[in-house]
Amino acid sequence: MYIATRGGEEAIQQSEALYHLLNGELKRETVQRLQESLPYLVDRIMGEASLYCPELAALAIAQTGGDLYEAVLLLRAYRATRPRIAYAQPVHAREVLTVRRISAAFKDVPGGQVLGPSLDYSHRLLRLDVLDGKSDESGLGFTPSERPASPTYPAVADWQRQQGLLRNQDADDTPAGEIPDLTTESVQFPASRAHRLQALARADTGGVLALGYSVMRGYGLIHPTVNELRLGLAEVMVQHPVTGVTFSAGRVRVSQCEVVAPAGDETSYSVGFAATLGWNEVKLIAASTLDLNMAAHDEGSPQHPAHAEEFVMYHTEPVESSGFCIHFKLPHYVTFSSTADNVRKVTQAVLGASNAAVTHMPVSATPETEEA
Amino acid sequence: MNESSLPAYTLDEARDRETFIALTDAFSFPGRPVTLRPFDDADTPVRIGLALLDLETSFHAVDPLVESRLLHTGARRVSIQDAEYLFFSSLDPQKVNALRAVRNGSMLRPDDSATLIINCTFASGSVFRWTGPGIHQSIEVRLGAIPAAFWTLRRAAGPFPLGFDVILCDGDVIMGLPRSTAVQSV
Repeated sequence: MYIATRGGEEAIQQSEALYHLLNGELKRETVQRLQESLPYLVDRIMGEASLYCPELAALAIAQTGGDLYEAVLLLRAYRATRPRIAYAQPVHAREVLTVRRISAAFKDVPGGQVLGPSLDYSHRLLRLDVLDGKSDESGLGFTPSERPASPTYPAVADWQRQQGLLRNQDADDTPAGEIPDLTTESVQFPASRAHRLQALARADTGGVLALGYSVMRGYGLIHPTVNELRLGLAEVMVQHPVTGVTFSAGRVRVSQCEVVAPAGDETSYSVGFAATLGWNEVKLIAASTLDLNMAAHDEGSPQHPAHAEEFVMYHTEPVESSGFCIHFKLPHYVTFSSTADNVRKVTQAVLGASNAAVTHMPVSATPETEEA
Repeated sequence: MNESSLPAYTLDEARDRETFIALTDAFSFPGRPVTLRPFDDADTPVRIGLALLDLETSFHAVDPLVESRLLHTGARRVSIQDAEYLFFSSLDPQKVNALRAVRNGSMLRPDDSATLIINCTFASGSVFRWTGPGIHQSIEVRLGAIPAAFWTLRRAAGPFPLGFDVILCDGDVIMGLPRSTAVQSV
């Protein structure tokens, strides 16, 4: 039961003002610093909001004091008001300006392992000396290569298809305007491939990791191998509405992950896939593992909730899940009053019965006392 | 982040943003007049169209001038039964009759319905009593240039959540009439 709250308007305004006062003044410089110093957080928010704009993502983080669910909500609300003016062309992995591309399946994948920027092999030690005023020189050890690396790398899966390890799959040639869009239509289950990939792309990082970890750890149908994990910059190619000329409207940070496992008949491999705006490795490894498990479940009955598409898609949605969770703090006076009435009635009924018993007991106890 | 990396906040964008906020106000408080701040020469129905339409929406406009302005949004021009947004510079019984085909959603997808943008008069005409969400008890609204048959059609499009939403316009003043509002003549 939901009821409208009346009154308390000034208290609500004061509460909001206090929140912003404690978070400090919202300044352009703060937003700028956040965007420069927290690129992975900005990426995470942009991915979950499915809106690529680092400036606005940094603003959302600053405006909400770093409450990430609120930040995603702000960006999604903003996104909902933006007009669609063009459809970008599909992005192919082999054309992404790749800064990091690794495979856990084969050491010598075509193009080699490209580590790019990573903390994977670092010591996890807090730099306490920075707090003492020591300058951070950890980036100074980087030496640019004399020979520039290739900007693009072939897809590992393409090479595996040539080797007969993966089945050929026809590209989906649905026109851009007809691709199902999760952000404008409700999902029906079983969901379309487009809806599933869109849901994983904008899913809550923590939620996807929790469910993904559950299938990795012991509730999975499949042990995944990371076939390819890629971080890069994709050109957003659009067609000019008047001249018809195709041009790049800009570059966006993107990441994608493919995990593989032997298919049911063991004559090839099955592939799980996920991609998102921004660089977010842990989310994509978890999401592609969930994709693989959901695909395995599509062929049978789910043994665990994280194999079921409906469970995964609904429960990893950051705005809906956080919104539903925090709505419980809003007034539920009528619901509570109704249950409290019941509790009182039952308590009284029980008390009434036990009082009757208590009143009755001394009658039988009296002779005993007297006997004592 | 330098200034040049940010897209310019254009006058068109500012206008559409203000119109959008005015529309949310109008639908939050049905029957309450909301005045649009003047921006450029675009009249109110066109302003509403520019704020709401894009590549993925469809519309039907009776007035060819309105239609030609709105085609620039990239929205598809379609017939009454397919349109998500319908623009009427004026309403007469004949046009109301054509509106029988308008989309009123389904129980599974109530949002699969139309929004009508209709020119009328707020200073003259019949008085109606509106009740429903966003209205404290009831509100009396004077409306002119709306044929009686329109109200019959509106009732027939329900019951809630089925129906269509209406934005009434008179000059630069708009009024929201969502499907959740009950209208009685006084």
